[in-house]
Amino acid sequence: MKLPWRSIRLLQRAVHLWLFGYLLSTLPGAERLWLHPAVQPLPTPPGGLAPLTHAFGMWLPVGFAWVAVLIVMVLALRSVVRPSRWWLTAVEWVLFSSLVNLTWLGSTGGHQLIANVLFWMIFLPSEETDVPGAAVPPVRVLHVAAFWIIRLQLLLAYAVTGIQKLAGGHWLAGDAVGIVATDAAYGPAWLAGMPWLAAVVNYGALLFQLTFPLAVWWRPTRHWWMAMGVVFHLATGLVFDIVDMGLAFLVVYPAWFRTGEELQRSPSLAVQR
Amino acid sequence: MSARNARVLVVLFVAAHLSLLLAYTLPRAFVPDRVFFWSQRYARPLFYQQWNLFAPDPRPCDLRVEVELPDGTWRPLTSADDNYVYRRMARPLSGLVAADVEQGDTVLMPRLSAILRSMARGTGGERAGSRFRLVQRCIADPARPLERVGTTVELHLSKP
Repeated sequence: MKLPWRSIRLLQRAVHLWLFGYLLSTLPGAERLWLHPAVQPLPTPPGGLAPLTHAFGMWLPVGFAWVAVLIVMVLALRSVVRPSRWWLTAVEWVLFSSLVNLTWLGSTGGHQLIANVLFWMIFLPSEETDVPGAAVPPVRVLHVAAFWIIRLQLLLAYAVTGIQKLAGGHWLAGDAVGIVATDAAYGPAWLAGMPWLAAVVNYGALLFQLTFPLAVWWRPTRHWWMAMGVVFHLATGLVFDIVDMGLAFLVVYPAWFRTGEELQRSPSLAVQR
Repeated sequence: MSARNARVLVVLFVAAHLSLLLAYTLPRAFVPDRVFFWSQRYARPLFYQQWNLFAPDPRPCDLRVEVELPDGTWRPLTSADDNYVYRRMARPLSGLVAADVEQGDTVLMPRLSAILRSMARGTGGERAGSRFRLVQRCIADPARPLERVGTTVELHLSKP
């Protein structure tokens, strides 16, 4: 029941850095996003847990949003340079999830991914811990389960995105990228002028998303698919104006980095506390 | 707890969570009703996520909501100068407006109407009696997506 500590620490740093960078990038538009939001919160979902993810409009005034942004930025920056604390991550998760739901029209799958990963990061250890002896404390079960859920959440996102496309007709026919490229909100329209290239991108994207879970699970192909992921997310991010979404996926990649696994297999290299 | 029991517990917990997430996010037709019901109950409150960007098919029409300025010209609700997150809001908003129009509603839902008014305020277009319209450019043949047919629908907002 060992955990790849270095990968965990890198994941924590990367996700917190994304949080800080994303919220910083929204500050030029703070007037209409956070100070006087043009879009009011959605009705809250049923259930007693809604106050945790839909704080604004329930128990926090919408006017508090900009304060929440600053709090999350400070906490995120702190967790980049210092070990994460579970209760600080919990505060970040409540505020960030509520901010995502406040700006629901501008949020993407990347924000949902980070909100989910942040939730499970509450249960990750804040420092490297060894479990001596045969007995495993219950908190260790929680640490390991949370880490594996984060890893598999990333794979699920890719797999389901691919499977969702199989349920339609245009992706299988090779027309989908041409349609997206000629949509004035996305582009680039020139891609549709070269149907063969549009078809290559169409099937390439579909194949990448469908194979990502297996390729990342299998160690020999992992780094190749991750490299393709970097190109895929940066390209789609820049073209579709969703760079924050692409980076959100990339900052979860460290959960699958090999350094931690290699370290746990060779205890002599492990960082000692 | 023994290491073996701990491992079994982790596997069961992770498998149960992932199974319910899969049932929640997979295309609706793939998931039995009862399983979908429980996945909704489990995932919706804390683990909300949707993985259907451009899926199952990309939208055949590009959509844009515009507001009439006092000088009689029309302009979109967001501009290139706006922050990228704010600018991005116009896309799903146009989709929601189009869905409302397609349903046959002659007057937009109050929530959508309020958002349109609020966003128009930033363009300088919001004033008493402001007019809004939905501009669509739709493909007729998926193999020739560059050829799009444009239509414009005047929008009628709910009273504030």
